[in-house]
Amino acid sequence: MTDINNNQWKFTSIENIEESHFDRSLERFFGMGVMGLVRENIQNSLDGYLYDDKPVIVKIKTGEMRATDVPGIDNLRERINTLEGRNNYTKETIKHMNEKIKQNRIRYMSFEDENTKGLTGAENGQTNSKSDTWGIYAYNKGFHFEEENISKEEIRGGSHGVGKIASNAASDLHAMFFSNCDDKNQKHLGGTVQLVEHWFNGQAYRSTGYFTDAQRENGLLKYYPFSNESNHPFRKDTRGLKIIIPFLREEYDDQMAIVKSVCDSFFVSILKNKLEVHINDQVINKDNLTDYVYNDQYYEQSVENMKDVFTPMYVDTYLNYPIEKDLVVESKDETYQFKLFFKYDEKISKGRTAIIRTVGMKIEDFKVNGYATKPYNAVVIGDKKADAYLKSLENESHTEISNKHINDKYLKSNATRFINNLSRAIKKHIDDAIQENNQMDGIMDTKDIIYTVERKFKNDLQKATETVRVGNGKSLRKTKGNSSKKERRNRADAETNATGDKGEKRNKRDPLKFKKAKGDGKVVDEKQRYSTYPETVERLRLDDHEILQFDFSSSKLLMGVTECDVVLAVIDGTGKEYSDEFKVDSNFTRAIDLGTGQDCRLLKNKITNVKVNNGIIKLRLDYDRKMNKSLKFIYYLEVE
Amino acid sequence: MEIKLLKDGYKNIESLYEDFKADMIAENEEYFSEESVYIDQTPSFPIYIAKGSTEHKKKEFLEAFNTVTHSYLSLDRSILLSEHFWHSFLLIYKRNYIIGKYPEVLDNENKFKNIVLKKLDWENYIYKIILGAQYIADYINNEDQRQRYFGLIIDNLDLYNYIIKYEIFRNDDFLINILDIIDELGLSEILKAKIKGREDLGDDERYGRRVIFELNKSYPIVLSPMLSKDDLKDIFIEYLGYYYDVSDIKS
Repeated sequence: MTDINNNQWKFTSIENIEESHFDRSLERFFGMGVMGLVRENIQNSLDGYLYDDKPVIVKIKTGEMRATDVPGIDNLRERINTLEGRNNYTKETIKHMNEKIKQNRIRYMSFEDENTKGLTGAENGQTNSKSDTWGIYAYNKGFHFEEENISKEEIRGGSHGVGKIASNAASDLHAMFFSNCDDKNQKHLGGTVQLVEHWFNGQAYRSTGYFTDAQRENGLLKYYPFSNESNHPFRKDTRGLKIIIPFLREEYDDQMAIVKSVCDSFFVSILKNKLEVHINDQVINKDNLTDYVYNDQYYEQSVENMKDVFTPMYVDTYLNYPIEKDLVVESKDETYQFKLFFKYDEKISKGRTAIIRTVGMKIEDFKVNGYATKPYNAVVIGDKKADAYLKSLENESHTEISNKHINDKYLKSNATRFINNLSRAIKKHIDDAIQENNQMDGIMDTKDIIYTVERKFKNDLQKATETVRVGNGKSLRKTKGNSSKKERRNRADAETNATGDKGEKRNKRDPLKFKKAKGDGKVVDEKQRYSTYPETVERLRLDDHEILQFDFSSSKLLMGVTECDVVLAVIDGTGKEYSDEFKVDSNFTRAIDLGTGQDCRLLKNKITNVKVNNGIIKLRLDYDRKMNKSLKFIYYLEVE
Repeated sequence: MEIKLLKDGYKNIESLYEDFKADMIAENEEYFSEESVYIDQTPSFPIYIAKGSTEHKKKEFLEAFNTVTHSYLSLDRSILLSEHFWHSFLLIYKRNYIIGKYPEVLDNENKFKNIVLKKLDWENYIYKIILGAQYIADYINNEDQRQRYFGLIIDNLDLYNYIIKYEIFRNDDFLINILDIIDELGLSEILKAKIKGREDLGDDERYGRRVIFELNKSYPIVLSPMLSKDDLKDIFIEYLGYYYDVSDIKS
């Protein structure tokens, strides 16, 4: 039973206490901070728009007031004093409430809207009529009112009906009021408080309390609102709704955060002149939004550094990069259209798509799977049909599009399809933009490709060759020309040692590199093996033979060497080396040492007894008819 | 359907095999990461096609190609080719199917690893199926033609394996050109055959494998993945000619 006469706050009586925790949504909304609160309240105001040609005005105020001016504060105090916590978290929260309620001067925040309908049917009190929005807003939770006009319903905001609790979460006492003035200038005041189930004067009560009057009709208790006779800040004299949050939590009392939340979530509404927001003495409207968004006191302005907040980019994209053609996205059974704004900029480090509902509220910084670091920025705005569908996909706090909360199997798979297709449609734009911005002319110059491939191949090969080793007392030194990471570490030393003629003194790398014999480390035939760098080798390929020339004249390693074997290992298209794949004796019919005019012996993968003349080797190799002439090799020299 | 992904390092969890046998993975939260992916449909398809008659294997491959084409190709490539995803999917959501179809996985852990936990590379049947399905489905719209190409892959599986082994050949144009060439020239049987009289080559060398290897060795001097079918055909015959008498093959 509810005590009608003495209490302005009404709690429904219950048999016993079953749940001893606070409503879970409180914590979630508290976690979203100013952003969650601003979004919920402004969204509700936008939904209640009255004129097509005038913006909804939302006035957000923060200020100080006397605690005794909060309607029903004495009743509330009595209730809070009786609360008992059953676990650490609720104990802590209740203790916090009890401390706060002792304060004399308190902070508050209010959201007052104009050019809006306000709630209707307050005089009917608690009803089930869909058109009496007061009854639904004041006395129900987890339930939202539907517009009788379906097209309006599709574009209005809340789809979960839990938004009101965002305001409760912002109050130290979990209390909020709403002050309404309707088209007949009737003024009413209501409120809700979220406590825990509790005992009060020997009776158990539910956790939710309503600031309301009540009458007994046909034996049943029915709530009717108080008419509003309160003073500032609870008064509302123009048509519309005002939300008042007394005992404002410190975390919400942040002008800068409020301004940014408004810009982040509603830049489209504001730029379309559907919304104007006053935050204490600051006004944000279509003419000055960019003064905030393009201001480095509010937002990071360097495109490269925008990694969490993308509003300045979105605004730029929205204002300057509209795309003629709508984005068309299909789910399993429907086709939806989105207006697209798209910008490609190499400087952008995080690619995001702002998904915006028709009312102009941003739902999400959507990451296209696999494209989160592509250099683009996009804004997509759904049409009415898309809007209705997006609404069904949003999570409870309207900050993410997902299929996770959908239980129905078909709807879920439909949602998956939709999200995939949306991603795909955006991807296509990104791909096209990338291609357009990295354009190649109609005819491909294949020389370039081969050059690039060869260069890459060369680079890979260089990377793959091993670090220099020291063998048989010969000391080898790495050259500065081929700077590796290790060498870089010594750069400071090198620079301090460098004298004026450092350019000339720079050593070129030795064209040869010692290569450890394969196998278990045994030197098989007492020969040293060296790998050659590609730049020392020149091949002149003719129809049925090739001239192969090596220039090792600058090699200290080969000093005094007059004869060697040349070993050929083939490299495949992926850069992998095959040491025994290419047999010289079956691929070449003859190898002639052009230095001496003598034939060389061909043995498996080796051309043997090749003369070295001052570091130069020159061979003519005659191809077998069945030799693949498009091969590439890495060459090794074996020296005794 | 939501597919919860296993947490990183799942392969190294010692109890994985025993838990798989005892059907205790799905209910053990410890195996799971926070991540999941959503997919529309999850029909089963053969994931290991190494046993049985040629006819049976053909049937299995065809079933797998068609199932993957219809139900899985729409997945994002980052999921479609994710080993993490497939292993999670098989271990948790396809256990019954696997045990029914491949009861040997219960015999010993090696078989389990080879069939279920196999690395997703060119030797894995799922990988073979996805790549083939994707290349054919992207390129060919006509249903009869698709079935024909699936059939060609199956008939030339040894060659197909060697094509997808090398990343330079993982390319729909190239695969379809090669299949067309084989089909037009009637080379399927020759390419599968072992090379005789070439002791200098490895033990199990086959004509088809050698042709693909020659193409690989020649890349990028010969950009075979980008050649037109006719140009590729000439080179194909030339390379086959290094190992086989091609004078009877019409070009």
